[in-house]
Amino acid sequence: MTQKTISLNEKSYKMLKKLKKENESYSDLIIRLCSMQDPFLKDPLLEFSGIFSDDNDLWEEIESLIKTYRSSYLTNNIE
Amino acid sequence: MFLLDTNIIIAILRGKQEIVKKYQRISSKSQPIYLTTYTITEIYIGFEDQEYKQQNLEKLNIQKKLFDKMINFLEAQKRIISLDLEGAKILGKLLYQLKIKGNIIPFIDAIIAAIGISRNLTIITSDKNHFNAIKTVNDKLVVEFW
Repeated sequence: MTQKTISLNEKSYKMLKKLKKENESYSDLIIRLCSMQDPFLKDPLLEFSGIFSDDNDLWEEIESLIKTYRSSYLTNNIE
Repeated sequence: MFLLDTNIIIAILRGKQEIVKKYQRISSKSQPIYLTTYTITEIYIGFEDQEYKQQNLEKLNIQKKLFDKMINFLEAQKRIISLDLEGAKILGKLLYQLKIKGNIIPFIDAIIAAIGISRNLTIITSDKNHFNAIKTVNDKLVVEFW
């Protein structure tokens, strides 16, 4: 794997060192920190999984409505 | 590479554990997973219906904001796709073949199938009947039923 060298000042190096877990490389640490800050690095579908979970009846109703809509526009309607 | 149908997206967002676990498995494969603009349209029909009925407004407003945030992230990752030129041609063939065979299916299913075929995506859906009907007229369609 290609390696890149970056320079850090004393203060940022100390901060990173403090955050680094045992057996964790600095590369892995940076990936972990970036993932915590940047949702683009994660899968939004997993991050937002469950956002519709607190009202079962509501989403049963919406799903049923969506099925009705889908069934309203059938391929045989196209002449 | 996968394409998720609306029923699967809603199941994930409803936190249905069986589906979420299956999704985690494919998500960990680091293969692109897409959804279509038509799924967003369908979920927005649901939001609109509840707003029109003035039902569950407070809860719905929060859910809608979260959903919008999620689709913005997905859009930024270029994971929301639509019918392109190649897909449009395939859709034309599908619609004609379905008509010849006398198979009647929802139009959106045919669009999603055409997007999947044109981009070589495995479609993941819970809708066996309609997608199996499409397979009878185009064997390039790859579907997984959850």
